Amino acid sequence: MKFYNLLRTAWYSMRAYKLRIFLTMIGIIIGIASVSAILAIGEGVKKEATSSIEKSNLNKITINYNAGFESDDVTVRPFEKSDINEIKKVPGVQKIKENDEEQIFGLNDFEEISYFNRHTSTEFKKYEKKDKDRKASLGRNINSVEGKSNKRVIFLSYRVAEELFKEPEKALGKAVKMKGELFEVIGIGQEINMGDFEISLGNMDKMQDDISIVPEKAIREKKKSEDSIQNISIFLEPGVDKDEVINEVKEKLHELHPDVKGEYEEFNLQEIIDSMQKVIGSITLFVAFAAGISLLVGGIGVMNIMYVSVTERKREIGIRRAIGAKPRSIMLQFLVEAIFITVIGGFLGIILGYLIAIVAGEFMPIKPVMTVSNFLGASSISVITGLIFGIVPASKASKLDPIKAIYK
Amino acid sequence: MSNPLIELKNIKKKYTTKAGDFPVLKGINLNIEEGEFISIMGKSGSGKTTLLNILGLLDKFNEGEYTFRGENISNFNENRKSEFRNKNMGFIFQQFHLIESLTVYQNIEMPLLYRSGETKEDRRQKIEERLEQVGLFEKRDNKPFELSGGQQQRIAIARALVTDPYLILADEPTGALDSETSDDIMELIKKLNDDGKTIIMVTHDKDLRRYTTRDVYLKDGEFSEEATI
Ligand SMILES: Nc1ncnc2c1ncn2[C@@H]1O[C@H](COP(=O)(O)OP(=O)(O)OP(=O)(O)O)[C@@H](O)[C@H]1O
Ligand SMILES: [Mg+2]
Repeated sequence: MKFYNLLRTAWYSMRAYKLRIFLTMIGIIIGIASVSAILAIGEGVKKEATSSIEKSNLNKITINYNAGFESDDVTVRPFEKSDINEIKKVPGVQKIKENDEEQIFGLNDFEEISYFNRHTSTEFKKYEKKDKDRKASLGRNINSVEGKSNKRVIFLSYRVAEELFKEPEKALGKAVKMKGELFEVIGIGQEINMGDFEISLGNMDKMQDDISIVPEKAIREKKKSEDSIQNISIFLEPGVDKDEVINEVKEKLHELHPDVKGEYEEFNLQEIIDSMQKVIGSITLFVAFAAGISLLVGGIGVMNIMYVSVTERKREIGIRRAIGAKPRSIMLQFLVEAIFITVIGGFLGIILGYLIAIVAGEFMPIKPVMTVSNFLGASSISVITGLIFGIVPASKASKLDPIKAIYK
Repeated sequence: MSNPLIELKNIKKKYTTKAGDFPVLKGINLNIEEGEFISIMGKSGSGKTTLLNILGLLDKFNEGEYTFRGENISNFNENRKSEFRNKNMGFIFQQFHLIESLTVYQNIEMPLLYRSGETKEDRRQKIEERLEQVGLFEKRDNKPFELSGGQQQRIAIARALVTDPYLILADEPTGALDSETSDDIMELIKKLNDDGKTIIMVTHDKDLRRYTTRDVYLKDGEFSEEATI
């Protein structure tokens, strides 16, 4: 029997039992809807997380030195000022910056800050150009001249001002102590609504407002050892092969420092994004799998209805056999019917699930995404469900003895 | 002379039940030529339906040989039997046995769907021809329950004919119909025979002998003379 005719045959008999087929379908719809809603939300979270990380510069790669187990001679220094010019020559490198502090990814320092006997901690950073647009809720921002200077002033985050002074406006003009130095409070940042932080992934920019700022030279870092370079940051030209450039830089460094025994290692943002996506992906899959259990219930519903159908339609099966249907044709007919139920149910479920995800997205700072592969995944799960739960009743139908089926 | 359409040699059939073996057919020999219209008669329980089902490859037999147009088909497997039925045989049942969820047209179409190589247009032509033949063309889009018993049996006949089989097997085709409708149906079947179809019909209605070309009588699983039943 041709496949098209098989579909038609299945379609005709489904039309004859519309209501109960629909009721059976509900189980599948719910199962697939919950799976695809979760996949869509998971995909949205993944995308949101990625894009907020990508706001930081993906073309910046930091190279650290890892001495490893082999201890170097104390006099060995993995980076020299003179390296900079050499590395600049590596094709694909646009700019290099040497760093004298150990760098943690993206974060600023935390420091204890006090006003007499009140203490709290603040995230703080040194003034940068981009901070000039920061809005003050009270007082004023550090201006760009002060910013470059060593003046002991501080632009406090609203939260810190509140914690130290109860009423933030009282902080203006007062001196607070940080890192053993006194700083005059000249301004206070915007108040942030903590409600926005529920999912902080989408709010990297807003979080900036919770940081206190001091002028660039106001704090002299105690360096690990004077003018030693802890690591270097390389800015890549757009469109170059990252790994290749990194490898060349590493080779160059080894060439320049033949006596070091450790390894140069890059701190790569892409890797973080990749592993984060992996984590989110597997969490999503796990939750989707849990939701898929409802699909199992739906599948058993399909199996049940197919058994009923085979029993009820014994005579039809017998007649079809007498007329020339092979056992295989009967089996396919019932299998296609089961798959029909799960596929139509699955399709409606995907739509419903996506709608649920969109509605859920209204209450979350993410936008659910339905990807082609999730769509195809959910569709094939529907087909497989029909196959698994349809095969036993269908094979029972195909094994019926035509005579017994006709003269039941 | 050419082979007969059907040759049954020493067909034996027993049902095995919990109560023990129950022989129904005890060595049937029967030759049927193309173009015959044969009735199988006998008392209830004499094995008529069993014999017809064996002739229609719906039931197995324990011993003997079944030859159809010179081909020994005794040992066909299920798939080959199905193909063989589809190609060579048409069935008419006492209870019509149309499929309730399908329209008249779709019911007649069904046997054609189980064979390959027919276009939709081929099928339409054949179906409409048979609908005309049984005089129910205008009912093609009705469901079986919207038809009278006699009309349903006509549709069943159209379904049996649509594949243009060598052999029509009918088990008490008028058994569920009143006598007037029975006559109509028998006229229709008779006409098929006049056009050359071979027909085997099970019945206990002796009146139907006026339509047939030959009658055989089953008694206790064997053929016997008419006088004894
Ligand atoms: N599946 C079966 N298992 C056991 N015995 C059976 C089975 N089918 C039929 N029989 C027996 O075989 C015998 C012949 O049955 P069959 O149906 O061929 O009779 P019949 O001549 O068609 O009767 P009727 O005129 O009532 O239709 C009967 O005694 C019946 O009880
Ligand atoms: Mg009978």
